[in-house]
Amino acid sequence: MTMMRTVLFLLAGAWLGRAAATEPLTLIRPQASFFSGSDASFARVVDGIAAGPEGWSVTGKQEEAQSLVVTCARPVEAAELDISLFFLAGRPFNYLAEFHLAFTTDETPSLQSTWRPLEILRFSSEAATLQRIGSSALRASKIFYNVNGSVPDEIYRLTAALPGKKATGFRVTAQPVVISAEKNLQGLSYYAPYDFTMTEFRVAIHRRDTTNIALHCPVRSSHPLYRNADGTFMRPEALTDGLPATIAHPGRLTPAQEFFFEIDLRQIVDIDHIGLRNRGDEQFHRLSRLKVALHQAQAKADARADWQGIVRADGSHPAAGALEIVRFHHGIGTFRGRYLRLSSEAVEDYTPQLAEVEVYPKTTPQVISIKGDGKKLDHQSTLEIPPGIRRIEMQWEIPQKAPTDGALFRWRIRGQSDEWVNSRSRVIEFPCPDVTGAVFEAQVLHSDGQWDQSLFQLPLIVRVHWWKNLWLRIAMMTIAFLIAIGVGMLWSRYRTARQVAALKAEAALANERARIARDMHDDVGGKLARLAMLGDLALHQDAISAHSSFQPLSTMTDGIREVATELEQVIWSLKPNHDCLHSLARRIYHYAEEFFSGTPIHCSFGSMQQIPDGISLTPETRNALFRSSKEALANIIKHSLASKAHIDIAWSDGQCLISIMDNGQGFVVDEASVSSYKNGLTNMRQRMGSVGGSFHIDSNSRGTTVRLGWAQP
Amino acid sequence: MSLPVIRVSIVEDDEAYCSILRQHLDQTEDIRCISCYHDPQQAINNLPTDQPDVVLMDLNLPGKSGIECIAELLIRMTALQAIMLTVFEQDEQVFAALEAGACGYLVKRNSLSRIADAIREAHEGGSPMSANIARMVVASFRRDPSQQPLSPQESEVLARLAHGDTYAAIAAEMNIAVHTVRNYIRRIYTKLHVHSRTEAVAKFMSQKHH
Repeated sequence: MTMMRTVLFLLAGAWLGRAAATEPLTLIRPQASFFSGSDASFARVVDGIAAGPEGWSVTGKQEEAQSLVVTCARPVEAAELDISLFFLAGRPFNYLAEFHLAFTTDETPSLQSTWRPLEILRFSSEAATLQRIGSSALRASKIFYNVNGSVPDEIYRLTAALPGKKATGFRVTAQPVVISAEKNLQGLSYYAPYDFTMTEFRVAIHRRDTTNIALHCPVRSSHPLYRNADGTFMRPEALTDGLPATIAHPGRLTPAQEFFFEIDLRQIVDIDHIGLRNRGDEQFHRLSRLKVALHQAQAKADARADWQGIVRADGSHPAAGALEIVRFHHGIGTFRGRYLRLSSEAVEDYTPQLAEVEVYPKTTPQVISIKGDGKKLDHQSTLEIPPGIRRIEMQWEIPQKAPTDGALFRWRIRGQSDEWVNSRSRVIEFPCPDVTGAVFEAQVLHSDGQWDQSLFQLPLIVRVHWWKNLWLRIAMMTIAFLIAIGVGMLWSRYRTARQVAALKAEAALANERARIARDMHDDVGGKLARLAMLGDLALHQDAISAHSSFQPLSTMTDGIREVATELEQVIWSLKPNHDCLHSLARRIYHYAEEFFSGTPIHCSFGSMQQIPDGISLTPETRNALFRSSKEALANIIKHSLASKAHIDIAWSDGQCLISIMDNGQGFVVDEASVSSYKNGLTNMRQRMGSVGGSFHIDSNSRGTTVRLGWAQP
Repeated sequence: MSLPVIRVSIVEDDEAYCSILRQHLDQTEDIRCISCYHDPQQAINNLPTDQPDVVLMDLNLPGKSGIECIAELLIRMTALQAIMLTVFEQDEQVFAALEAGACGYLVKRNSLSRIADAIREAHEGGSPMSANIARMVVASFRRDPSQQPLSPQESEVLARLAHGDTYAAIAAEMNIAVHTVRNYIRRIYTKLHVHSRTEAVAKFMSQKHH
């Protein structure tokens, strides 16, 4: 059941994780320099529904630039954003002819806010062709004809960079284009009446398939590169084009000391590792003695780097096509920067030479929310888990897309189990640890299969119910221990009392024994019963999740019951009226009945009829007979594999004979093996010997019979 | 499906034990603890109004033994099932309680689940007879010839129980149905009670006249 729930939950988690990757941001408070139609129809531009007849439209004022401003319900921080402009009003030609995008970090975005251009990295559209006219501006083509008479509604899909900023709002500005110079006609779309209807403006955090941030970043070289046979030159962008087959290196006459490649990562980043891919075809020994340097600002060639190191300083080289991983300890300085410079320390021509440069930023997973049994738990630098919580659920923010196979990140609870658990889902669920002081750790997997070196760490403080408290347990065990000592002391007091009484009257002894029995019965016995019951209650309250039930608690409860049983035995033997064989026989029969109840062994009993009243036994004899019988019964359970047992206590001619039989597998009974079989057998023999009794054991493959004999002196 | 709820009262002077037991019983689906008494006289006064199905009665109560309480209560509440609670096995008192009309006894250190099972069994009308009790009953009938004698079948059932045979084994051996075995056991108990309850009643009445 629990398993099933977990599986379902994991599935749900995987789905949520996937959905979270494309979940649009909530945009509120649309404002515009102008809009036609009602407030309600204008508000449709951020209603979350892409299609519909209404949205932002400017009919009547389509000859001037117009702007739309939207506010993020929560400020957004992401390296890249997916921005979509929908024109799905059933007027397929009425898409924006030209527009640019901007963002603000102002607390309350409005048309008057400070707006910064939003760099558009990639874009696509349905019918029109988009063309870049600036880093944050695009122009659409006019559609002149269509073959089948139907033009699809337009959607612009853009990916924009938001480097290191927390955006609070976005702005789209529609720019008029010249429709007809002769008529001096301008418009915001190409088709009459030259207006548009933007049915939805949508922003979502872009999740990349790769965590390599150098991909598609601009690269420059200090000198022109190698001239190919066809007269073209190698291009430095080959290093960040994502294609391992394209390589870049300087020409032969380039002064080696001066040459460098410089990759602009577009922002200053803390770096986890850099991957340098060797060319895979030939000359791969040239990726050697490569100097890697990081700068925060674009500087002269000889500027001091924030970090620098030399890869393969010993002159060796990675295998063909292999990726050389560079980490901070391969160089000196702070492993962060915006500009990555590669130069060669090798004497060889055509170096530095390589196929691809990949840069993986330091990425620590961030926990968004934590729930315990469905209820939200707050966390700061530690997570405090209230008592009784069984399952913990965590939702994570991890910037990249989950790979189709393999992990997104891994986690473990250090201090409980140090083993890592890989996860593809941004939602994980695990049972509440049963130790406090464990540390939850998580680590991101980069798309090149390298684990990020940084760790998310969250110490877990697990609060437990008072009855699970270690000190309380120790206290209870101490109580049990003291009781045991107390019993021992009472017993020795009884023995002393006995010696005194032997000199005095028999009656005084009987009184003393009865008093001790009563005291222990009422006080100690009652308290033990209460403790055992309390243990049960604690176990029961925990029993709902049986798998997590706490072993020490049940062991302790069982222990208390055992102490109580022992005490019962002591009290029983303290009572003077039990100093007779009849009473002992009833006791042994009853003990066996209780002992085998709940076991697969069925026990039957001999008759009591032949045992006359008034056969007195000394406490030593009684004790030896009872303890030896107990031992024999215990052996049946432990060793015999029997299905039936029988006990018979008989009396004849002044002799008592206790026979304890089973139909089990038996064991070999030569004299040597009997004496060495188990300490138990030796004990029985010694016990019976000490009171002048006898001990016999008969065993074969059909069963075992133990005979305890004692003759009245 | 909702089970019929068994209404239970506890008479126990150890308040802590009583409260733990009550908490546990209230956690079961089919047992509700409707009242707890620490004083035996209060219990005798109130239980006929409370109308529990089963009463758990401590053996050692201040001022009055649980055995007497059971005898008195059964006069007024004939349908009541009484279970004796004892700290330790004390054959004499346990047997006295059975004679007074208790339908069973429990040792206090028994696990909570065993206590709950005993309550259910008592409520279903079963007065289980262990080998140990059977031996005591045999001894009782042997000791006191004034009791209404047992029939040969009842004697045989009793002897087999003392021997440790299960109900099923006895039924098979005697060629009768298991429920017939139960009937015999009930009749043995009745004969035991008829004898001793008259004594208990006489004692109770004489105390009232003082």
